[in-house]
Amino acid sequence: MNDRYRRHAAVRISRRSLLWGAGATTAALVSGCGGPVTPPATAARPSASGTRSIATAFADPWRGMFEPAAQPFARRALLDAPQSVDHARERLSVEVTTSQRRAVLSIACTADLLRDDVVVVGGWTVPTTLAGLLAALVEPDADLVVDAAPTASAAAPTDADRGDVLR
Amino acid sequence: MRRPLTCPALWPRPVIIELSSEPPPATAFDVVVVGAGVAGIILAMELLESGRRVCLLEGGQASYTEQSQARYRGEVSYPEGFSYPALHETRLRYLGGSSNHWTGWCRPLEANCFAPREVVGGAAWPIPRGDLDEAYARANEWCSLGRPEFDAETLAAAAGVVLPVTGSDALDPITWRFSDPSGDGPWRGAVRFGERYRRNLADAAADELLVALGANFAEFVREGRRVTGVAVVAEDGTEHTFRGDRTVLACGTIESVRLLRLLAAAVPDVDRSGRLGSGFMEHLHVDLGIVMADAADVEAGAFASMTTQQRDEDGSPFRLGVALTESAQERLSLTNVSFLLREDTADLPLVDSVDSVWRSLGRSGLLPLRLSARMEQRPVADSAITLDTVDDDVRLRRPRLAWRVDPRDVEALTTATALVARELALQGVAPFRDATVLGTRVINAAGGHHMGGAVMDPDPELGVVDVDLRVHAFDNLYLASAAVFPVGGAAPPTLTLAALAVRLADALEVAA
Repeated sequence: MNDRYRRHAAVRISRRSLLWGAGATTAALVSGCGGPVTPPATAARPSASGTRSIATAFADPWRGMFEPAAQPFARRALLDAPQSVDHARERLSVEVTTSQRRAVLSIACTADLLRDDVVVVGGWTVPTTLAGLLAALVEPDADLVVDAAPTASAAAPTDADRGDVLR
Repeated sequence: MRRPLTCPALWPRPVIIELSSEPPPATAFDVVVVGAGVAGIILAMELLESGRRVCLLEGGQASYTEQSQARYRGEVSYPEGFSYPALHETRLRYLGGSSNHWTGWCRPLEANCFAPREVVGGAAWPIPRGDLDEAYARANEWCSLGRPEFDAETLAAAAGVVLPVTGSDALDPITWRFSDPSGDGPWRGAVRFGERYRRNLADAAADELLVALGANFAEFVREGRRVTGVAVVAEDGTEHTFRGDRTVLACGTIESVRLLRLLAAAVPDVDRSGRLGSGFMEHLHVDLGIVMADAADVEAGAFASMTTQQRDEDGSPFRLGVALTESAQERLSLTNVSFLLREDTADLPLVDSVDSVWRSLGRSGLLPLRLSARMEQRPVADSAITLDTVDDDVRLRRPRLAWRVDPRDVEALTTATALVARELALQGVAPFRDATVLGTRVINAAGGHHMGGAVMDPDPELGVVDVDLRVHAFDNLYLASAAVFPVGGAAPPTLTLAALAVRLADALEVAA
């Protein structure tokens, strides 16, 4: 894990009821590890507690790729490594066709491994991009909220946030 | 008890006798070998082939007895968080020695053990690796390993399997060969040297070889810087002396150091270096965790050769694994580490969902594999074999082992684990579950790979034996034991011990 993500690893995580309606996507689950810039299509309503949205529209091309049985691991990724969503967004915000998805994801995961960019999800060590993508694809009925306890560094928008989703 | 026959005119004296009150033949031997384990038996057979008259002394009997085995008891201590078996459980005291329970995994010592490395404090074998080449080839035959080929690429090609890693700067593919008593498989366990070579020993000419069982070491008979014989005690309490021009101590590491320490009590120069007993080493056997591998890779791909035994073109069994490259060791200040994978049936959390993720990625499903490591221990001065204050029933001081581990070795395991997990992932293995997360990481020394304590060094101020394995303090006392290993590498020690026995036999032949 690089320094940036180590910083974010301190984000407190808790289980709560969703604060918004069913129309909000998983992407609207909030964490303190991203910048505030999100496209309207994927923005979540900020909660009264000051939680933040993370943009997950970048994951839409991959949405049909994973079986429903992947959801427990995806939810665990969101709990254990919410910061990985930012990382995945950086790596996967590219034009991609259905037939290209696996190759693009494989390249990103290989690059992660070469840089030791890995996170631990439910005890399993996986490439950060994969964890982030799965976290971004958590279904909306997931009973999870990630509290934001933003630090000064975490609140600063990153280049990745500014670039956000390309579709 | 079988008695030696005493009518040489009609019946030649048996070569293998059980020592008793009946006096053994008063033959003077060229070489007296103490200990009939792997090293002792190889040495005796090699010396016989060169025409030497050999006496092979074994404290135990032809088969296991509780009474003899109890003489291997001793006190053991080890650091908190580690485990270590009782001394009488890690070795066997009867004809064939600890080959009676070894699993037969063989690999030559890593090449970097023959050059000084900073990570082990500059320690190294004081001979060139090439000095052992021919000896390794002959040791290969004694251990029944098939052809002396250990190149992983060559063997993978011969067996038509995929190498576990390719193009990695951190991991090299490696090979273990298996001691195979059947010769043409299937592999049914390792060669038991006592069983395997008993017939060869028994068939030797009676005036060339005597194998005395139940010959419990009592003391070396000395004249100045020469050992002129070995005094032993039979099971019935009678004492006998076997005389020879040269004496070789070919016991296991702990026993060899024990007997040398007894000798040092009378001849302090034996421990002139102050290192006798010090620097005892083991291989750290560690379960590192669980990797999920693609089922197709396990069945026929990159991991098939690691998880199942393969057959060489001559039918001999081998298995592939991976080991840290020398450059990775230098870069990360690590010692030699080898890794192997075994199929596992662990009940792991989230495993169905992880499997689903990988199927979604186009893989054929995952199988859990247990990743374990065999790691070279850094020599530690206070890891030591000493003598207890109590005697066994044949009046020899019992040994006391204080096994110690450099804390950096434990830290290194974490580094090595992360490295191998990443490299295997790059080769196609899916998620890795660290044993520390599972709460199952136990560092032990289950292999009983005893090494060090009487190290080889040309300088008598630094080692106990010279490069020809001669005890510095004597002109004709030699040591054929893993006790002489200055560093242990990560390879199982038996093949290297066998090679040292072969090399010593050659040296004794030249010196005769």
